[in-house]
Amino acid sequence: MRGGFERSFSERFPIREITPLDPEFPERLRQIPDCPSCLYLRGELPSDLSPSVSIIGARDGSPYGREIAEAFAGALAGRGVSIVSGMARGIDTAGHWGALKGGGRTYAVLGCGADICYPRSNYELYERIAEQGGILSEFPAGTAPLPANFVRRNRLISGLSDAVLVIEAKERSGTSITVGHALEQGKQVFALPGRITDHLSFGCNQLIRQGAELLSCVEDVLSFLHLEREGELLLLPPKEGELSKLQRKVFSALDTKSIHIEELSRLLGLPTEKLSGILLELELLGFSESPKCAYYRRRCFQKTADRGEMEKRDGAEGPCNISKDLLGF
Amino acid sequence: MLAKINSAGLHGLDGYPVCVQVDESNGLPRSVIVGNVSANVREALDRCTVAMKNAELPLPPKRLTINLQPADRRKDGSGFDLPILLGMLLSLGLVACSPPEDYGFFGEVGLDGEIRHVRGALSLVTALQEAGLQGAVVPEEDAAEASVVEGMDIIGVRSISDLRSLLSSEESFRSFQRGRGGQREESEPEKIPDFSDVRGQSFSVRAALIAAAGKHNLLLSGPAGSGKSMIAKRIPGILPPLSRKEDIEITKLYSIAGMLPKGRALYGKRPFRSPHHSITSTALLGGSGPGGIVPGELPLALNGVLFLDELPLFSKSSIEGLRQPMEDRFLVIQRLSGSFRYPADCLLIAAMNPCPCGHFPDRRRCHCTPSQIRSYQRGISKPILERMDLCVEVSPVSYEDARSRGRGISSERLREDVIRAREIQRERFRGLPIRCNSEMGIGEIERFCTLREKEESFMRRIFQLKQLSMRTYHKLLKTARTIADLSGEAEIGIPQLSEAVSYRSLEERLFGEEAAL
Repeated sequence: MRGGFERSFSERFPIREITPLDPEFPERLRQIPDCPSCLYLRGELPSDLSPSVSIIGARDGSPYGREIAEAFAGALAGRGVSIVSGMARGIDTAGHWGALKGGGRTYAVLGCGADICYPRSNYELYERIAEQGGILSEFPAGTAPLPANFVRRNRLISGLSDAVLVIEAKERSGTSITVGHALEQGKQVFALPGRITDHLSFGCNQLIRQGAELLSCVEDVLSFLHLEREGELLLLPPKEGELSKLQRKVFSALDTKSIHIEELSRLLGLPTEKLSGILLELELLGFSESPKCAYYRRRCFQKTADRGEMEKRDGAEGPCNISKDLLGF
Repeated sequence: MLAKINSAGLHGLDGYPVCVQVDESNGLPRSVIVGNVSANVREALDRCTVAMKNAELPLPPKRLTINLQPADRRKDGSGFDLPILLGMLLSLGLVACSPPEDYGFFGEVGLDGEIRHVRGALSLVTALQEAGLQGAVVPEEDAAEASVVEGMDIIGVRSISDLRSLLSSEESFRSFQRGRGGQREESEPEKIPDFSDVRGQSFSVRAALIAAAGKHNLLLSGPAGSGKSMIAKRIPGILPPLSRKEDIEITKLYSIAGMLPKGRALYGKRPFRSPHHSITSTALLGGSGPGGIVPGELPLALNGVLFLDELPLFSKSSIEGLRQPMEDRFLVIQRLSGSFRYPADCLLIAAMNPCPCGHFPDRRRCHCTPSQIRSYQRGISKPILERMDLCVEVSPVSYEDARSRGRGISSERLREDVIRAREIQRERFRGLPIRCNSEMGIGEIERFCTLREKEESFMRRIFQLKQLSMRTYHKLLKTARTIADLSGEAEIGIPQLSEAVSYRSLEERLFGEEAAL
């Protein structure tokens, strides 16, 4: 059954094969040691002319890390930077979505065949990347997502980019393998600093100590890529002035880490049924979010207009319907 | 002489009338029972003959034929002992006068001539009444339960000698001591733990209050030791008092299951059933067991609470089996012996840990991998999750709460709120087949959960922000309706809607990408 599904799938979306002999083969990959002998591709290849940045990090990244990844990817993509990542859960997913919502191009390098969506929960993302960027793999169509493949593909993620942004990483992880490749390939590494007690930031803090660039704002990356920075900051903290007194009181009690409504209620002395209303108002205003029922956190940046989403809504849902037809929904 | 005695048998929850016919004729002294009876009923003959011998009643050498009518129905149970015994006495002329024709009989007979308890007395007497009878002679132990049926003259008998003195003359039948018949025994109030023991957790307690007020199914998810079971066990204490009709429904079921406390007229409290997660689907829903069909845990939670602790650990088949009965509020069990219909109307409370070790999202203690957490949460079936109106994340208990001297809100106060909200719902659904907000279908939602323009545009924004499904949207409206009823509001407003939203997001996130905090 599964084989049948995949066959019809690849007939409909042909997977292209590109070798280093083809002129369109990415120049960046030609430069790296252990250059792949063939690339399998759905969608398009990243352009050699536009700057490219990869965003990588832990699969179980925190909401804070995911928000930073999404915001940075969105801001960079909006300035014409291609975002490369591995479509894994967590930080990778947030980075891809950020780029898509920012209206830019994004590329996923997979550890399985380019016709397979792994993890499956990212199906919608997979479809959108294929049409607003490309799905790349050095493994032929139908290759299963084996752990060893992911270790290999990491060198392509760093190889395809000019700089690598490490958002959240544990002490030893797949991320450190990618960073190792990046250093070997001579790419710049940016690391997002974190609290010294956060196990998800051990990796990043260690990288900074070893000499990685400290990632504090999008402009750091833009100036490294020799891109003009505009007058205003690209990512702005929420403007508290817009809030009412009560809203501000609740907002000030929120942290970038999620807090249970019970604890908020104790801190603020407000009953939960009243608090939930104010928290929802803040969420609607883009000041906070609720990653899980009853847990709330403040957003680091003001929510920017979702360009990709708007285009999608205007363009009468192209890709979703195709995939739905295919799956027989 | 031919004797005819009215009696009744059980089929599922309901009784059906049976006529026991006993004929005595000359011939070889041999007795037979006919009429499609089980081994259990066949044994009645041995019990009755020995009981007669021990009561020093002579059994003459006659040929006795006993028939149970209607003969096309399989009859089971020990309740036919008494009518068979009486039929034998009558046909052999061992009692002075025959009982009035509009009286029914059932009961088990012991070898010493004692008349003992049978299951399902309430259903049997109801069946007799529906068959047009005026009264029933029942074992004394069951007299209290049987007299719940109004308009029936219930006579409790303890032994064969009681039966004989009852039937010694027409006058004695009329003047026989009716015992406790007609009186309803006041059941001792069961000690249900009180909500004031719950420290902190005002969010979850509030959710429990809403669940009880609108009969909304509730899923509590939270780390080990956060008090999920504690909250669930206190919910029966804040449900409104039982109506007589509900009590009779419960009593019928418990009587048939043989779980009615001895001598109790009515069950008198809301059941709280909390099966272990190793339960099979048959034990949860019901099936055939010794003595016919046995109701499972779901029907036994009738009008009460079914608490499923550690929801992801229940086997898939048992949980999936809950889908249809939860939707239809009744359960049909099909077996070779026939199909049985039980009411399955209960408040479902489920609890689960967020991950296999139970400490997530506290990452200092929980070392489960994201895929472990996901596969653990995937253990819950999505259709069941969709039937949960409220999904609440319970917070770990903080030190301040654990050590605080202050008591939480008492069950009594919560119950008053629930009763008030239920009262409003009863008014609202007068003339409709539903009782609570959670039972509303699309039509009722459109009729009773209308939003004004301001609220409508608010909901549109929520819909986009949270990317709700239509099903979730309807559940939000139902929950908001209950919250409005709790505060006595006629119209659903923005505060009610936003509170309802806060009890919701779990379902969407649980199967999505994000699990980490």
